[in-house]
Amino acid sequence: MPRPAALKVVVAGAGQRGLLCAAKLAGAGVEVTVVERLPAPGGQEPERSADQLAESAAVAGARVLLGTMAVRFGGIFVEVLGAGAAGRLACDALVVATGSRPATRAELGITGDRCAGVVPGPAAVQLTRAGVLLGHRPLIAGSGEFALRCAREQLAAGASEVSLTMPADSPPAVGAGIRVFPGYRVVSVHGASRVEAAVLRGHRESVRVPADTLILAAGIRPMRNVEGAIEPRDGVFFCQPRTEAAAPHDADMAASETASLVRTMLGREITRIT
Amino acid sequence: MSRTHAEVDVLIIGAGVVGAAIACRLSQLEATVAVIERRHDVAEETSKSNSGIAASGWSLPTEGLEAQLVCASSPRWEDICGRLGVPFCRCGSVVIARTRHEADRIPELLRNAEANGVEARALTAEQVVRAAPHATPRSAGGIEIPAEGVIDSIRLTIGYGELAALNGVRFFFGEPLLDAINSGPEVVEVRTPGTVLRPRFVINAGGLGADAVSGILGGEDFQITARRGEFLLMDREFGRRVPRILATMPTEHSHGVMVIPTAHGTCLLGPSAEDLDNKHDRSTSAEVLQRVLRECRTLMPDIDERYAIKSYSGLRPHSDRTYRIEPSAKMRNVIQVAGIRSTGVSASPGIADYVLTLLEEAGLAAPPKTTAHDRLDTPPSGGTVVCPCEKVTAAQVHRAMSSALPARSISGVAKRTHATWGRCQGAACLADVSFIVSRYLGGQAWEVPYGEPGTTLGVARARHA
Repeated sequence: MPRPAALKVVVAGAGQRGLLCAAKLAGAGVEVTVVERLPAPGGQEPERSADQLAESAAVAGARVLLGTMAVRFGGIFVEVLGAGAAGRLACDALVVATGSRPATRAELGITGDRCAGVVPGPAAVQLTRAGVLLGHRPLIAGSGEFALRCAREQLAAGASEVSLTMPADSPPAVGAGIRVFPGYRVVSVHGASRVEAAVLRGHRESVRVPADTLILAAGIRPMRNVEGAIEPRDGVFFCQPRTEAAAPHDADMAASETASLVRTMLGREITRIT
Repeated sequence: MSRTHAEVDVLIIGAGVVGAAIACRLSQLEATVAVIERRHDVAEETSKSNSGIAASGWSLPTEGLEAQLVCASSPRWEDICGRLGVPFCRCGSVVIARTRHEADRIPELLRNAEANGVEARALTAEQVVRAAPHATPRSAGGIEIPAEGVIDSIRLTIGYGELAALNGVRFFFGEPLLDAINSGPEVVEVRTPGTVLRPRFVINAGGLGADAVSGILGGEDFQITARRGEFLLMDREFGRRVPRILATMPTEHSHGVMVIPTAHGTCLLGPSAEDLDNKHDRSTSAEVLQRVLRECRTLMPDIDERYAIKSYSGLRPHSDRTYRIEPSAKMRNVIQVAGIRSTGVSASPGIADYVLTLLEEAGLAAPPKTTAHDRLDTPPSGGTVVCPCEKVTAAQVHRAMSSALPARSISGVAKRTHATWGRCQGAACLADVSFIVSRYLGGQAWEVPYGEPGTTLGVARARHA
């Protein structure tokens, strides 16, 4: 019986999950290429361990292409676009490890004016760290730890008062300067050129809260931008956090699960072919 | 601050798709042309948020100027979009009769299409589903119009403007018309906050504001109101199931809602039609959007609203008389180009040619400019991807900021590249895009405008930075 050629897997995303998964697959003899859109490993919010993880993946035999994005999955190849060049990487499977993001305005069902000052949470974090005070009175649509962190960062950056919507079971007091609206959600924003106010709906009543910016930090969605691998299909494995609480903690377990799933599925394919 | 003084052959008021198309056409001639626009960029009003349909004109009343200009424009899109680098797709449309009563109108509409010289075919319910597998199986028949297309109307307007600018047309943005000095039945001087322009001819392409412009110029008295249309933009993952436009049977006044593929592979649901008292309320409401969804499901039952990327609304001009394209009867060097209701994109090349003949009849004698550019350079491909949802590279953002008609805001970059307009709505790229923009505009990072001056990204410098 001929020996099957090494399996080829492309991992999209060099965050914690992508790199862990790549290391495990490479360790098991799979030919792994990690493609990362950004010029450095670690994903949207690089952790201190990012370089170490990238090194472990490389030591295990994975190739890491930085500044290169997987733009499309075509079943037997991945189309990439990047600083190096555009081209195709042949592969038997794609692991999507492109992280997560909060829900968008449309996903949260927030209608009203399309005025300036509505900022997605991850962009808000980056901008604030780069020295941009987004609002004196920001309103944060939140649901968990990420929103709380956003709220504290806004205060630290110089906001005078922060409003925060959270699920009903959240504690109403989370710190000085943060006004929590437990059980409320943002339903509309209003303002002529910039956000001036938002309407929050609770179980019994609606309130109008003045605000000069709205930061979207509620819910969690997998970040999916490899066309052809947006929805589940053969050859695509998603390694992305599903719940907010799970996000950083279960990366190692999720990576192991994905890696073994990839090996099992591909192993079966190969057996069938040979 | 001193004003810019200039004498020009033609002054165009308004840089929507119509004004930009005229500027582009005139830029091919030996004539000095200036455009004044009250907003900070081209395509900031009706041309920004519309259905993106490049119509064939099949159902328009045959006798009207609208049908004449739309039908003259329709066959030209492949050529124009190729030269200007504008996303376009001649996807065809299927108009669906939802009741027997609606189906009774099919023969009459086919006769109209034939009179307009546009191919249209009657379909049975089975043929509807064969022509458009996403369409409802429960129709009473329909009509197929292969020549209908979809176009990126913003990029079209930018393309017209960029080519015009490349050929020497001067654009003055953030310059609303303040007043005009007349000498008898002629406008001799036009003023904005920053310019004093002495034109031989003035073109009123003021769109929603064309009535006010006409008033200031001393032209005819007419009224333009705003009709709001709310849309839902759906993800490409949903868009790939929508190969053709699905539409309801047209009436004389409206097209009803449609399911529209876009030239970018996404899909639009809408528009609603609400007449407004003012001309600036672009808000959306959950009730209207739900109604749009319900109506669209009568055309395409399987619509999963979780694929919605964003909702927005656009205002289109509405007036008792449409397509008022003629020399003013009161001011003889003014040409009115007003009341271009919802077909401005579709008719823009035809309108530009028609306005040129009106100018020539009025005495503009301008020979073709032998050195004029007639196409734009292909944008750069490859490089680091800034916006992962729309696959926009840093090089493309840099080009948007440094072209002949550069972006001056985050939305200006979005209009030119689609960065921040994808399924994550800027979560991944808003910060990076704004840093590139701030490098070109200067000043502090927080001062970068989203759109008009005053719509800054932040409100101050952050404390710890």
